[in-house]
Amino acid sequence: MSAVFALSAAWLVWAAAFAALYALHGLGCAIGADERSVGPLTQLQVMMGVVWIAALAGSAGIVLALWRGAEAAPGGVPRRLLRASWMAALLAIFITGLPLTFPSACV
Amino acid sequence: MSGDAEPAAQPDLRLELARTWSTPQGWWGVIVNVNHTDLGKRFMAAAAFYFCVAGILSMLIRAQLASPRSAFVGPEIYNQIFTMHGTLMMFMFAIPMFEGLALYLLPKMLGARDMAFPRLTAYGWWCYVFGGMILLASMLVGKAPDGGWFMYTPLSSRTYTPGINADIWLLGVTFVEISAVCAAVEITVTILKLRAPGMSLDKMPLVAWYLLVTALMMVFGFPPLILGSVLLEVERAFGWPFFDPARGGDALLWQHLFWLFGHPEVYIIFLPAAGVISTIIPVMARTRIVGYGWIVAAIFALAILSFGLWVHHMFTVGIPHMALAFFSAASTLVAIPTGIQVFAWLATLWQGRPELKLPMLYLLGMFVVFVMGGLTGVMLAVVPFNWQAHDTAFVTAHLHYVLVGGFVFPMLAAIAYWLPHVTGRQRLPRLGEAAFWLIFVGFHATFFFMHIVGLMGMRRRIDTYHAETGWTLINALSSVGSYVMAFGFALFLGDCLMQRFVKRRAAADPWGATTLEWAMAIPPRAYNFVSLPSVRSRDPLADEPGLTQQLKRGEGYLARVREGLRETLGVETSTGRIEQIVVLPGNSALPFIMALVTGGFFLSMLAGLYWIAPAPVLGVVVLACRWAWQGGARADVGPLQIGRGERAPPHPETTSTPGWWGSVFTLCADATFFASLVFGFAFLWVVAPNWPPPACIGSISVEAAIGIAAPMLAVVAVSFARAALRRGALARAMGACMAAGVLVFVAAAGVAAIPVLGKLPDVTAHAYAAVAGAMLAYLALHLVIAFVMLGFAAARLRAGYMSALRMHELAIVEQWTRYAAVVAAIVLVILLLSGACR
Amino acid sequence: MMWRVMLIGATGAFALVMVLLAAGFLRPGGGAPVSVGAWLGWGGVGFVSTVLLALLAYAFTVGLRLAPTASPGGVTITATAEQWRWRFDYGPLRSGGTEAIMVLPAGRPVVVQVTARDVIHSFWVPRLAGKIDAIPGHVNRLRLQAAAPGEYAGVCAEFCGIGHRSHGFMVLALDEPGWNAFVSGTDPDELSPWTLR
Repeated sequence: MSAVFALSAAWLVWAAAFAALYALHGLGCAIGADERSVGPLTQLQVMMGVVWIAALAGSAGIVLALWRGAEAAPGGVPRRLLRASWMAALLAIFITGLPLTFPSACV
Repeated sequence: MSGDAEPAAQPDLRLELARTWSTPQGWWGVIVNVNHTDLGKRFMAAAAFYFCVAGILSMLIRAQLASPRSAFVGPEIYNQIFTMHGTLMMFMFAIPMFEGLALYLLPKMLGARDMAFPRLTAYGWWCYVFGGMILLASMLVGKAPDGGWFMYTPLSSRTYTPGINADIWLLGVTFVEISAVCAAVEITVTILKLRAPGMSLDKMPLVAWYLLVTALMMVFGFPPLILGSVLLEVERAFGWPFFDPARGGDALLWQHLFWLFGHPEVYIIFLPAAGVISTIIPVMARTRIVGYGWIVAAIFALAILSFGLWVHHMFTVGIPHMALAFFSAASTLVAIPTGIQVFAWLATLWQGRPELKLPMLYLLGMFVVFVMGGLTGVMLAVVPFNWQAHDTAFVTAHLHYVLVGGFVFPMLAAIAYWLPHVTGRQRLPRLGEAAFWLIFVGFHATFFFMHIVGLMGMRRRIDTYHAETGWTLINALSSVGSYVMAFGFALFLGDCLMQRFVKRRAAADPWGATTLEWAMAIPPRAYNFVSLPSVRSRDPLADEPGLTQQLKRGEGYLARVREGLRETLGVETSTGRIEQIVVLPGNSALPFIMALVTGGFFLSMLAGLYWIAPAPVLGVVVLACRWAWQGGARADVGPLQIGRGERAPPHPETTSTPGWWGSVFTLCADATFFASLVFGFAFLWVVAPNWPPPACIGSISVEAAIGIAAPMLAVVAVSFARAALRRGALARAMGACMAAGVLVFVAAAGVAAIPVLGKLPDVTAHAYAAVAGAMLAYLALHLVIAFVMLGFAAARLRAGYMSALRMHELAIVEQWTRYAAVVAAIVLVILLLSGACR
Repeated sequence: MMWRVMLIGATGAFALVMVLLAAGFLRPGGGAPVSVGAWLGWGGVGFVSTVLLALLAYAFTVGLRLAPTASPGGVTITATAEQWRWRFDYGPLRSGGTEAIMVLPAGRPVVVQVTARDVIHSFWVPRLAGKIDAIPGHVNRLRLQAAAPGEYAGVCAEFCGIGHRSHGFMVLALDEPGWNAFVSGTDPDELSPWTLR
């Protein structure tokens, strides 16, 4: 099972970030968080931005850790594959979050 | 012949294996059969039957649309026809077809003698049969579902579909889904535990990876749909307004739950087919697959990404553009792992010397059709384009390209490839090729032009159209194409059936394949292997010539029969180290009886005889206890000889048993079901109209305290029981189990007090109370399950089925008690917090 | 425009795969082996993701332009669907609503507020805009604009039961004088030469 977890982990982080962004968006629009401004941004943008950046930073950290460290293979999965998975997931988190830069959130 | 002595060579080993694994002749044998080869074949045959039925329905659709203003059938019948076409193809053909293939192949490819839970295989089969009968019967009496295969509410709710049609769909499909979830759990555990010794995960044939991921996707993908169906049926039967906007429900909740299942479903269908492709292509190209690791990583990416796509079926429901863009991005990203696979297949063909044998021909068809379907899929992921093309014939064309290219063509290739394995015979030359060209040409004639007529504005699901629209010629072409395709399928079927009469024996490994399913006599015997292989590479037949003969001579593992028991080997999940001898159950009528009783529940719901429904539920509980009572051992025997100088204990004396893993994955599915319910509550609260509700839940602090604390104490008691058992203190363990049972019972009483004391507002008045009621019902059900299991554990302890060595049954009971405690805490805290609902 | 770009891109991608496939079969005696990294890295990941990301960026920008934000000089109309009728109300602009015919001023942006009374329907005028679902309990907004006066056919695009096929309506786009006459109460039947069912 550890191999299954090792291979899924990167994408589970993507899934968690994705679900959090979508949930926050729905909740934020329902409570009007897009109408309260925080500096140049809206409250909703700040909340979602924090989640996005946290997910990006977290997976970037893991990519770095995988680059250094010993050449161990967690759960028997070659490190090369894990690195590729985490980099792909990092990129996926970035792309999935790009709509955050849209000017309006709730229309 | 027990215990220690290395068994003498058994001259009549094959005879004895055959006797141990045999099934009685005649009808009784049909009922009690639990063998994976037979049940796999049955699943595939039945799926082919439903493919024909649904195919005939589609020909009726094409007959209706062949000319404008057709009066062939009216909208009442037409709506039933297209609803049933989609429903049967999805639930009765595609899923069972791949289940059948997996059941048939998996143990053979992994080097095992059967699936992990043979009786569950049979139970799934009978659920599929009985559920299918409900659907078929409804068609014969003209009361078939008519709301479209995704059954959108409120059209499918009681007000707008007053008849039994929608109930048939909800109950019939849910019944069949039981079989799908059973198969998912079983496939997962079989792949993780029942492999040949030495087959670590990275030495598995690729198709096992595909099936593992598919099965895991089903574990997490099907529960949302089952929940949706249950809620909608409860709304229809008892008036709990989950989806009624006038009473705080929301039609969109159904769409979320349905597509949360529905999109992964597309990949659940595609991945096994892709596994077949990855198996056949290297054989046809006489090489090995390129990029094994890449493909495995891509499968995982694909599986998880596919859970983030569901809203792209809902691009027109008025979700804000930013949210749509999240899903649009995910929908685009999912094409990348698919692209990796397609390029890996291309690279494999380049690396080898491909030969255009029949399976390869069908795979070429796959390449053309599937790539086109993928490309139109990318177009549909673009939101502005989707707004135009959504719900037109363009989408119909796209989904047929994806599903026929991504599933039907690979399955035809699979049949062409493995049929000699099933029958042990050769096919007639050239029939299959002729069938291919008819299907291929007919398919494109039917569906290619449908893209165009869709872009011209032809909607889905209309029963006719006017000549002025200019769609006449294209539709006529489509209809002609569909009949050509039908001839092709008939010819293909005829080719398969011919093997009954044309008795030309096939070679032992006709394609020169390298996987273990060809290392046995064909057609296969009930026990698969005379002795079990030890695997050292991904292509055992290529790297160890003579392996087949060695196994037949009994030079592998378990070349003996111990006390008439059906045995296979269980390994450690990752490394493939030998861990245990898995003792499998023999022939049994229990699966059939249990499915019959389960069917009784569904029929009583269907007939509106709700007061009868508890009786079959009770019956299922009793039968489940009987089921679990069989098997196990009353004495410790210790590690046994398994041949080749190695030893392993029988599975009851280990901790990581198939049963334990099966319980883990069942709980995963169960937890997903529960999470979907919690999601539904949050969704309605945030999004649905007509909130806040008229009345909130009353003060329940006392009930909640009892309901949370008692199961926690029960968990402690079970841990104590385990500790006592480990020391061999059976009486104490039994006492602790019974104490835990009493605690769970107290908790159930506390929970029941909430509605009994009138603290739950009227569940038919508002969705708030309805969901709260549903959560309480879910909690009560799990407390009851824990209660029954604890009683069962006490009885097993008393009867001597547990000891300090044989503890895994108690570990399973502990899992479920813990789960009940966690559910109790979550449900009651949510209800406490939602007491301030206004 | 967008359609043409996607069609060309898709045809190109399809052709590429087919050429690679054909070459795999037809190479005489097997060409130079291409490495795994090259196939999967450049083909599977590089090629596929470049195409897709370009398309995604394009889709995002087009989608943003279509967002139903209110604009100056705009008109808001409420469309209500039920089995199997369409009703249109014009708010403060006009006291009476219309059935089966939606009247709007040509050349001006219009925001349609779409809802339903019973089951889910979908508002779709193919020549004016994409579709938006009419869902009981929800109000969805769609922006559209008729460039020239005329008649535009509209249909229900979400399956809504027995009468789904003929659950349609007509959009009547009027020039400025016609629109003025309409909002002051003139019956739409008198504003057009056509008699609508």
